[in-house]
Amino acid sequence: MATFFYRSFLILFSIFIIIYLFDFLKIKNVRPDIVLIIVIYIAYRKGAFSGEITGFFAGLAEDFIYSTLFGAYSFSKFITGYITGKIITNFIIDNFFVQFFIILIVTLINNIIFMSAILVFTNVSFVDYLGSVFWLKIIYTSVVGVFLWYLLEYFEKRTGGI
Amino acid sequence: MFSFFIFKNKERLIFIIFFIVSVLFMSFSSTRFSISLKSVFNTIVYPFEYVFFNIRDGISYISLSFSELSTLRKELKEKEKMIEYYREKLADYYSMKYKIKELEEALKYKSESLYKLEVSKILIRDSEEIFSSLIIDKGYIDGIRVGMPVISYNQDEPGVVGVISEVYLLTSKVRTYKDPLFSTGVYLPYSKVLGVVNGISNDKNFMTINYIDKETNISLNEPVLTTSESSLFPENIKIGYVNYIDNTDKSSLTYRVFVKPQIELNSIKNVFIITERR
Repeated sequence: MATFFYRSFLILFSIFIIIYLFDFLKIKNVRPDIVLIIVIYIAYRKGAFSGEITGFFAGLAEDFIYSTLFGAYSFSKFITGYITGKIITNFIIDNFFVQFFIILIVTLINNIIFMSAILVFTNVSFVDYLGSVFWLKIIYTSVVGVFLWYLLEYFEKRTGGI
Repeated sequence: MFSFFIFKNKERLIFIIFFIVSVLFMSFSSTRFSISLKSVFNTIVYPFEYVFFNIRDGISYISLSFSELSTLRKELKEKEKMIEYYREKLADYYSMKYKIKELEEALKYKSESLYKLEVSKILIRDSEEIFSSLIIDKGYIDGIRVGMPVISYNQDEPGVVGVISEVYLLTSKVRTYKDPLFSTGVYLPYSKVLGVVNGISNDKNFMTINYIDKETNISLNEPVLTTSESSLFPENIKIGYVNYIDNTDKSSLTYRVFVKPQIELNSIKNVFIITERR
């Protein structure tokens, strides 16, 4: 139960940080997806079940706050959490490049799922989205994710679990 | 059996449930249901938003006020420096103005005087016996010699200060009328009396004229002038005024006259030495 609250707090806190406090992190109006990094980290550490639950509720929180298509974030993030828990846990992340590469791949998957949902349920052109912020968001999230990963590891060691 | 099935396939079950729920959410995204859900959530989240906004604004204001504070401090320092600079300039200005006024007065007296005067500044006043002697900034090389009379001006009227008692190379010492050893011949023009005035020897701050015949009729406030019969001063320079006549000794045939000096030594900065009589 304590872990649940801890994770919820972490997710909500990171959402608030992303939205309200760290405007200066924006590059061409794109913020790194810190929530996704937390979902990936939890899924990698605790497996697919924890990953999909964390992903769903974190995405749902984002849906409530800033989604134009309600359910798109929860949809993409719970699938990402599930895939990470099922597949990525087989890899050993022991250096910077592997870490960067895995976060990049997972972020790419998340964005493809998200875009798919958008394409199915709205009239947004995929080509427009792909050309503007798609790649920037993926690379930016991957770069920030590497540093955040170390930070989460540090907190995990300090608190004894996540 | 059923529970075991659920536990064993919980990941897949949850996946299916979440998938269905998400798709349903997306399907009804623009409906009244999802908007109501959002508004409920936003109502719950609003206090946190409010706090976060205020924290963010507070942090930005604090950082802004710190930068403004440092700018204002810098400006204040610059202004203080400027004020100090102008204060010094103002002090210099007043000092210059005062000096110019002094020099103008000195020049005026010098040009209008019947005597050849040397203007001199008082450097030191006697610290032990107040004003009984003065050290001035003119000495032997300026043509100052022992015995030269020293005068000053009070409301454009010349008055006796003393005589040069010692001369050094660059400075001189003036024995003032406050010195008990100072004495010179005087003339009282209204009562037509001649006498000898002596330096101040009491604490009343008055010079004295002794042995004035009781037959003479001296009035108070009568001017006391130098006389040509004295070799010390040129004639008709005011020494002071009759302030008090002491005739308490009934047995004596004379009385003593107290003279209030024309020049207040503590109010003058410059003196004039009569180097030559025209």
